[in-house]
Parts: sequence; C-alpha cells; structure tokens
Amino acid sequence: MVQHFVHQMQSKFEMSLMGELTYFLGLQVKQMEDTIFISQSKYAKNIVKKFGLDNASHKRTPAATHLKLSKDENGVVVDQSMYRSMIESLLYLTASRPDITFVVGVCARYQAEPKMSYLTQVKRISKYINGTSDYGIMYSHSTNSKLIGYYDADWAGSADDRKSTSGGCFFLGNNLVSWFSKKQNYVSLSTAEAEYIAARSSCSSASMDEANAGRV
Amino acid sequence: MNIACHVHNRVKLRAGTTTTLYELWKGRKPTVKYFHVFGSKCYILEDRDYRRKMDPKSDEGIFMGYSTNSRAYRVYNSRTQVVMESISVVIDDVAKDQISEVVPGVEAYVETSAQEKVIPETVQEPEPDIEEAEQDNVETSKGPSTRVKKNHPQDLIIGDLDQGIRTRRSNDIVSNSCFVSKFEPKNVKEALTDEFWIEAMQEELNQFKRSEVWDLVPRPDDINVIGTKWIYKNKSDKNGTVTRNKARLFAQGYTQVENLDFDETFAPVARLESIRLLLGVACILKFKLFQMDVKSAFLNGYLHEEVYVEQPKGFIDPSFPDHVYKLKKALYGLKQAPKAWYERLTKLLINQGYKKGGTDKTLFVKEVKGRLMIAQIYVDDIVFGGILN
Repeated sequence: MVQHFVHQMQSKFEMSLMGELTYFLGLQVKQMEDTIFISQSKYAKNIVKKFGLDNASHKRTPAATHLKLSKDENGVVVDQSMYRSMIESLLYLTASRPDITFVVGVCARYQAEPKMSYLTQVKRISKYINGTSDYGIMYSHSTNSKLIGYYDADWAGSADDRKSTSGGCFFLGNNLVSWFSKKQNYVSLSTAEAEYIAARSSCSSASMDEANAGRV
Repeated sequence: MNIACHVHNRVKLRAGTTTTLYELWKGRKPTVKYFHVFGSKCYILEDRDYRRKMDPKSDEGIFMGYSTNSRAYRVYNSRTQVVMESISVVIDDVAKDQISEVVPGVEAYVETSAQEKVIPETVQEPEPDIEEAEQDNVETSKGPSTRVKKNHPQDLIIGDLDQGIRTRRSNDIVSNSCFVSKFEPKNVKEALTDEFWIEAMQEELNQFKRSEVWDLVPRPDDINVIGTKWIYKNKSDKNGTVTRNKARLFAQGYTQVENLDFDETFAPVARLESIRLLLGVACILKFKLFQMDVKSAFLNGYLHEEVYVEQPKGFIDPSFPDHVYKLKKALYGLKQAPKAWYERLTKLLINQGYKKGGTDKTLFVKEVKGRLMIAQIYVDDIVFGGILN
C-alpha cells in the first residue's frame, strides 16, 4: 500500500527528497524498533546560542517553584523586539517540550512592556534549555489506545487580574499527544469554578483530538 | 569554461602567427602572472577575522580558480572549510605534497586528457583547458617562457597523462563549487552577467515547459496583467558551502485584486497536535513513517481564474515582445497558488479512495481490508505511513 502510494505520487508530481521520516517542521524524528523519539535539540541549541547564553551555567529548573511575575511598574525597561524574539523562539520550542509550556506562557503575557525582571526569567528558561536541549518526547507501542486527558487549574494565579490558569495534557495510550496551559478568560470566585472552566476547555480540546484519533 | 577561454585568448598561438589573440585585440602582451596550478596549496591572508599579533597571518588553502566578478582568486580555505574569494593569496605552485590527501576529490576535476599529446608543434605553449590549464606539457619544448616551465614541471601533473577524460564526481562539494556562482544577484541585470545564474533561470523555465504551466498569447484588453520577478537564492549545505543556484520566477501577487483575480486564499498546514497524534498512532499500530517533498509544488495546481502574467525579464520572446503568458497552472507568488495546489492534491487522493479529516483537513486516511494508510500534508511536505508488507 505504501509502495502503491509512492508510485501514484511519483507518476503525478516531480518529487524530491524521499525516505524515512527524519526531519519535519523543525522536529527531529528518530524512528526505532517500536518507538519514535522527537526532539528539537538542534533548534534548542541554536536559540541558546542566539541569545548568547551558550556558555552560561545550566539551570536545573525552568523557573523558581513559586514563580510570581506581576506588573512591574518601576522596573527597568528592556528592548521590546529582543524580548519578543526570545519569546517567539521559545514558543516554537514548546512543540516538543511540555515542561516549559507554562513558564513560557507566563512570560509571553508581558510582551507589551517588557521589564528587566521578566527578561531575567526568560534568560533562566534559556539556561534551563541549555542543559536539557536533548529532551524530547518518546512515543512507544502500547496495546491500549484510549484517549485520556488530565487537567488542573490554580486559583487566581495571576496577581494582576486574579484570573486562574488552567493546564492539561492528553495521552493516547501511553503517548503524550497534546497539552496546553492557558490563562482563563474569566475571574473565578472559587477554586471549584476555576476547575470547571479548566474542565470545559480540556473537554473541547479533547473532543478535537478524539475526532482526529477516532477516525484512525 | 570561462577560464579556458581566458587562458586560450592569452596563450594560444595560431599557426603561422607570432602574436596571441590578446595581443591582436589589445595591442600589448598579456600577463600570465596570475595563472596558477589548480589545486595548488596557497596561503590566504586572514584579513576578515580579528587576528592578534602572534596569531598566524594566513590560512592554508587550495587554489580553485578565479572569481567571476572581481579580480580575486577563488580558494578553498582548509581551516574554515569554505570556498572564499580573496585577492590576498599567495599561491605555491611547486609545493610537492599536492592537496589530494587534504581534500579527496580535488583531483577529480583536474582531469587529464590524452589529446594533449597530439598538439601540433607550432603551438608554443600547450592548450590549457579548464581541466588542463595546469598541465603544462614538457614535450612542447619549443619555447615556452622559462617561468612557465619552472612552475609547471611534468611531475606536477596530477593524474595519468595517458588517461582519457574522467567525468566529474557530481556529489563532491569541492569540485561542485567550481560550477556554481557564489553571489546572489539582486536583479535580472546582475543575474544575466553570470552564466551559472542564466543556466539556473533556464532550468526554471524548462520546468515550466515540462509541466505545461503557461501559453504565450496576445495581450488581452482590460485584464490585469501581473508582473513577474526573478528571485535568486543560493542553496547551501550544512557547512555553508554553496551547492546550487536556484532561480525562481514569482508572480507579483500583490497586484492581484480580490474577487477579480482570485477568490479565496488558503494554505494546507497541519496542526502540530495532529502531527504528534500521527506519531503516537504510528507507534501503537506499528507503522513506519516516510516523508516526501514535492518539487515546485505550487506549479502543479490548476487555476480556475484567467490569469495573465508578463514575460519574464531577460527571457522575452523576440518575435512576440508584447505577448503575455496565460497561466494554466499556478505560479509562485499568486494568491491562489497554495489553494490550487491543495485542491489538486485533495482531488487526487480522494479519487484514490482516501478520506479527508473532519477537524484537520490535511489528514488523509485510506482503509483497505482492515489495512490502514495515513498521509498528512504540510503544504509540499507529505508524511505518510502504513503497515509494511
């Protein structure tokens, strides 16, 4: 069937570059017996180098445990375009790195008026990346292929507007396929309400995944 | 080839004359000071990087030829592993240890030919060709200048004199770089001064012809004719060496008017989630995944609208200078090009029994007797997988 497909395509179009999947949209894909590993290590190394932090010390976590970024009225203003470009590079990296999704998301909220304190945090993420550039996601064979989602929410995690942040991840069998971290749109008055909102948004993305997976 | 002509004009004597072609033309004797043995070791003055007092002044390199657009040598820098152009180069023609061990493959373009032996006696100096320029021939002892003799002894000739012409190794970086242009022209005028770029543009137009992209028609009235523009890009490998000159003809899509020249624009990109999902599913079902890349994908899409474009600059048909091209297929730069490509591909796949995804329109699935085949499209990249027999 695969051969048939290849023949069909080749007869219709001029093809170049054909072979096993190794590199797609910046994702390095490694196919092994029963497992697939994806990572963006080359990209990660490149961005750390671009920020000039490749010789900096490694950090073992992307952020302090109780990360609190809030409006910093009196902070030193830093170059906005530089800050934005750093955030942008890191956002793309979250395609294979769920571990930094939350912190990058938090830092991305302050792109309009970047201050020194945020930049320090972004640099910390880069230093973390520097030591962990080889991290990626491993997909492996499993007999069950149920779609299972997990979600949670904090309560009034953002000090500026008291909105909560929800996060979640979805597994197909034992393979992580999708995840998110998003500040909620409403101010919740209770932890329960925050959780409900998180539940709703995870349901919507779950149904989306389901629709895709269900057909397969 | 340029070098061959250049050398030929300066060195070769026609039978019965005592002047070179260069002398006839310019009225003075040519200088051959800058003729050097291809593949010689050379020393490139390091004037680009910051250099401290005690650092070496130059990098070792290999002489590869001459720059096509400036008075410089084209050299391969052994330290940085790139081909560069520089005027501050000292070339050592007589160095004994020829570079063949430094860069395997250099000898590939230093080709020898047996015809050298049959050069008539009236020729004072041997006929140097691009591949042979360096092989001065000792048998023609009738009177080449002493300098030439000193610099070009027979034992310097790389390879076997009696051997026939060898073809170039096509995938060799070093030899290839002799056949690509290093600079990127900004406009057609610049590009037309360089033979490699002309070739690249010709290649693009040939592709148009092969896939029947357009027809030459008389200029229609009251219809927006879209301009075209050449874009030049050097393709390089991961070491930064230029490996290919790529010229692409773009339609200036920004002059298109919505609803008049095009309706909808759309590019088939996949969500990252569905790509990861595909990977996860592939593992569970034990698929092997493959990828392919459609060459000049947008040139495959059929157009519904009537679109006319100007003739490409520099390649105007001399007999119909005022004609324009009517497009049958899409061109890069057209607003509807990605959509046209997506439609063509979708139709093809659906005809073959594939089903389009519900939420992700770029996922195609086919099932035959319980066996599954999945294809995911990202503009011109296609990832596909299935159970191997």
